[in-house]
Amino acid sequence: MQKITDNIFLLVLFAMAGTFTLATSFVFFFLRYQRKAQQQKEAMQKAELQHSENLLHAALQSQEDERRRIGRDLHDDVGAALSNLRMVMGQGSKAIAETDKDAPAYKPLIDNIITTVRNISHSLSPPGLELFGLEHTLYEFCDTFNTSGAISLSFVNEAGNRVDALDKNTALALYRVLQELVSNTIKHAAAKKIVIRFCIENEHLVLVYSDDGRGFAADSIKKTGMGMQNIEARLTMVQANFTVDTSPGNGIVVRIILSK
Amino acid sequence: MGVIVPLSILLPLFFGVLNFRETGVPARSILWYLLVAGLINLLGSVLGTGMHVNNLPLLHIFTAMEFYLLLKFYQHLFFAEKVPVLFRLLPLFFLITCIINAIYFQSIYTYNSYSRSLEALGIMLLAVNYYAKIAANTGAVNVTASPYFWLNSGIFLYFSGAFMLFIFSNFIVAGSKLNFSIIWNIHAALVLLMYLLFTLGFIKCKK
Repeated sequence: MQKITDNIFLLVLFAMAGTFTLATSFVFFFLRYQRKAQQQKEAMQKAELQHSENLLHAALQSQEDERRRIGRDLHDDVGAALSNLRMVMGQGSKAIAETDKDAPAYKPLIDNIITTVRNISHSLSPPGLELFGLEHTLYEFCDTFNTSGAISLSFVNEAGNRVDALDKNTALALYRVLQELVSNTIKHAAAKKIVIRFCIENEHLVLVYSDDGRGFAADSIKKTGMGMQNIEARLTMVQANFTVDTSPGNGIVVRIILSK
Repeated sequence: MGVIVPLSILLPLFFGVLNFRETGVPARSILWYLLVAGLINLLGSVLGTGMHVNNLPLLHIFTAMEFYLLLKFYQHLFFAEKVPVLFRLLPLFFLITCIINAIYFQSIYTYNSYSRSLEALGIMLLAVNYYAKIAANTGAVNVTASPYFWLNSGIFLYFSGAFMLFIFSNFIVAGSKLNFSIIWNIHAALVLLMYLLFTLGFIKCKK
């Protein structure tokens, strides 16, 4: 039998180096695999988020288109038809009055319907937003609101031209959010006064909405409610953050901070 | 190496104690392991270097304790609630194996290469199992942020590197003193690596 002359010391050394290298490589490849898996998952989550944002954007866009169409139809068709009726009533008032003794009461009634239709049409699609900008639209919104309600609504612009410089989508989103907030105040707050204020804070355009209503516990804000969800969705679309500050008996202050 | 490595145990112990409140139950098993390893090392030095007495019986005791404490670490990692009976009985089986080995095969005054190799094999299998577990469960989580990844890597790399040494230790002892010294210095470097990875693990325990 051949005598083995191998150096056991060297063999052990090689064996130790071998197993250690194997183990180190295993850990190294494991880490690489994990990092890759993590990057893939993050990319997938990002794509999913982007997709749902796109869906939301499309849903909001189609909602706006529909509102615009209904608003235009109301204004152009129903409004025009009512104006014609009003004109006919005016021209033939004597003849109509002779045959119908209630006729004088029709004219103010028709005027009322025309105003209501115009208000609904404007609320569905504010015509001034594209033509005159958000500042003008909000002043108009306040005027319309103040003539019809028991709550006083005031608008203050401390941000100058920055308000009208907002792009179309952002302006429309803010307008819709304000409509939602005002609607909430009317429904739940029993407020007497609402203030809408634009200002600049740390170069950011900030919209502050406040009312002097009964407020509520801050932790009871239902983000799952449609109103709050709408607000959140619309503000997310225009990359704006918002905070709600409220407590029982102290009204509400909603601060919307727009990116620079 | 003879002084640096035994003292380096203080590093993971320090961070383990510092973040004790934030360390999970599995990491506490490693703390106990370090404490036991430190004490046995100290006692071994006193007996071996100070009193010139054969301190290998301590290694036989340490092997059983080490296996028990590391098994506890993996037990807490693998089983949140019910621990399988076989896993519970493993330390007992290993203890019996160590005793049989010491009585019939490798006296307590010699290096217990059989028990240590068997222990290393078992621990390596558990360590690989842990990698498999995190690969399956947490594909998208940054594993380097987990203290257990580093603690497990410390154990895995040390036992993988020292496995062959455990097997052939008695052959090395029979050879030249220089070779013996070189091999055990390499072993000390592996221990140092393990302690450094443990330190990193305990640092990661801090939230």
